[in-house]
Amino acid sequence: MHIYLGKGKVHNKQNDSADYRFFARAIIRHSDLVTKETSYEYLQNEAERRLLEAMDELEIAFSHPLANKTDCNHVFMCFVPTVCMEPSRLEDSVRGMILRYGL
Amino acid sequence: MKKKQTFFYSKFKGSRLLKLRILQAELKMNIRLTPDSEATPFRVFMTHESGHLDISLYREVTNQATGQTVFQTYNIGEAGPLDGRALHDPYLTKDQLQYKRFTAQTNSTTYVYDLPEMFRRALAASWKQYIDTNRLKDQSIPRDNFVCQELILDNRKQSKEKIFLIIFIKKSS
Repeated sequence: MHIYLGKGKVHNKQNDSADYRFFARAIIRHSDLVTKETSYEYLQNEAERRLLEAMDELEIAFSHPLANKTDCNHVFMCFVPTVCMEPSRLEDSVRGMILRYGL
Repeated sequence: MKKKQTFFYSKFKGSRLLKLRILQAELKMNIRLTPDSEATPFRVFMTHESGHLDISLYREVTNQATGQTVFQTYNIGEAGPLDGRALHDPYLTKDQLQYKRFTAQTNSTTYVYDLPEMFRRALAASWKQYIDTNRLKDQSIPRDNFVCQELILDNRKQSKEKIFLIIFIKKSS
């Protein structure tokens, strides 16, 4: 898990309130680092674990002096294994997961 | 007791994403549509900027001639906001609207221009529910069931500009 703090480039001098943003990035690999394929259930569980981890890390990152200026913080997850599925299923499970963590 | 605990826990969790101001998420994965087909990279983008969750699904498509990879909306009716954009384009910075929204939200209130959309969605959802429970056709939802109008007092009458938001919701006949 990597946490980055990004600052938007300010193009016009009048609007000096720059855009600060945290980026949490995670890579989800194969369970045994060998198999090329994996099950959808494994990825779903792993994604949920990583989301919790990202929130924990961001909570720590919020001690940064610029943290209260951050907005639109971003979580990125890259899944390495190939999975065989219907892509539209993604939307449902993602929606379910986000609603579980409350929006 | 157990039930109460999980309730509190879920409430605590509930505020977490918003408390950390996580408003965007992105997933990248390689998907094989059928067991024998080639794996294609897909991306899912989620944003929660205007107070409701937007999910868009894209396929990464590489232009053979230029070698540039762009996002292409997959399977969902309308094109997503990133449709046709290059993969390596920087993320968009906040627009003026989001700055105002951020100010409103850091003062723990709702940005006033997000309210109409909130009502619109809630109304659409309850119409959907009504249609489903009564097994009616989708067409029976009135088209203009939500009207919203903003009234601004002019500056001569008042030193301070005031904005009123009036929302009319048509009830079913």
